[in-house]
Amino acid sequence: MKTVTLTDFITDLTQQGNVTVNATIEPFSEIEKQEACQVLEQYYATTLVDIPHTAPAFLPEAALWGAMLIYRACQSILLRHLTESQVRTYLLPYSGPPSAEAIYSIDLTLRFLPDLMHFAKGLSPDDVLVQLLRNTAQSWPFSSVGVDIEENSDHTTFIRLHPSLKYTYVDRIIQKRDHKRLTHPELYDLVKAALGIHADRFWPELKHVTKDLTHIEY
Amino acid sequence: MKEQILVFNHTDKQTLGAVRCIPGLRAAENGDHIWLRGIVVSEKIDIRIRQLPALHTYFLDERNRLFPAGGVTPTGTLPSLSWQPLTTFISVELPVSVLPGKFQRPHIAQLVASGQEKPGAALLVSLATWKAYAETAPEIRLQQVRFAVSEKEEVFIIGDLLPSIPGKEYWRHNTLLVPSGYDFDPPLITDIIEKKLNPQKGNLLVFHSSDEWELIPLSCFVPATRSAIRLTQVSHETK
Repeated sequence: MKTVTLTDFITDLTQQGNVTVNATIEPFSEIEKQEACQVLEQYYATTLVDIPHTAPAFLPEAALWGAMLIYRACQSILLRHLTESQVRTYLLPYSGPPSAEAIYSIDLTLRFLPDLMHFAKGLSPDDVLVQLLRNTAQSWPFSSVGVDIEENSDHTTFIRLHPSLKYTYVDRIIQKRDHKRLTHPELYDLVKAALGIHADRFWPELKHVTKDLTHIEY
Repeated sequence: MKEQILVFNHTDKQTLGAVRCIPGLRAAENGDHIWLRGIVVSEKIDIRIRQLPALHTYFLDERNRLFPAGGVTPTGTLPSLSWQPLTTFISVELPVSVLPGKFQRPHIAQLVASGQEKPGAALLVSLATWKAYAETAPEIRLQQVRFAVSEKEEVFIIGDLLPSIPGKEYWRHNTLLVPSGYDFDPPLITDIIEKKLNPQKGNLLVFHSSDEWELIPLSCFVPATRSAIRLTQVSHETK
């Protein structure tokens, strides 16, 4: 059977949305990682025309971490014989400091995390893989819109302070109708401004959401 | 005897028009004759029936035997015919005007100021304005419109939820776009204009208040995605 490299995986994920993974877990070689970084950077360039303002710069190590995590998560969903410790080893958290560049570079592949969690919903909520994916969604709110998480104020600040991330985040919140992400008055105001007088048409439930978000009025 | 039967010459067919709307009457062709049945014999037969130029008048009994008026001996039986309701047997034709009217001089349709408020359906903006809007425009608002760019760096945006940016607004009647605040004189001429100038309806007919108009093929309009707006500008600038 043909070996699916990390580059193959990223190309399939970003171009088709259908992926294949190897049935055995082998370490990624340095050459494989370098090639993957090049593919990620090319994909990053194609996203620039669709993102508001100017996107944060490409951060290779962050983009690579995101791609490897998604690859290993796919394998962990399919290969159910993996032990808890093995899964924890493959899905290590990002070790670099948070930044707008890291958030957007990781998002190149981590934007598929909500779909991946949808596939994993058949697993037990106590499954270590489910827990780790939820932790990842919690750590990277920009990529996990639509997933029910607690507020991550550190990352939300980075998102709010970068115009490109901020307006993309607002677009995603509206697209997923994720009112729980309106954790900051500025985000609430931006969503209201985006919908304008047509809020009832685009997002009728929004009128029940209060600005302080301490509760939802119905 | 309950039913009266009348027989006419075929040449008198048009006289049946006088009784066409009387319910229950049925007629059938039989060679050079027309047979009419469905006349219920009563003390008072409708005068319009009595005035018909019938050749023969018969009364029909239960055994389909025909008795001449005043006779007690049948002279025949009712032939088997293809009976039709009289409304079908005699169809309505519109009269032709003998002297159709002629317009002595053509009527010039023109745009005039109108006080009637109509919702905007298109917006004409500059390319720079459109590009600036697209930089931060919410995706959900871009998804509501399509756009086309002209060589004069003008952008025509169409859709029912137009962006709130400075530009010239138009209202829409089918494929006609008319500047807001204007209407045709007479207003009902819009359908005629569309039929004459855009019969296939494959274009948008844009009328300007300066008495100019242009055709924009609908195929020129593309979905307003951020990348489409940015790339359109690039290809436009390299021309």
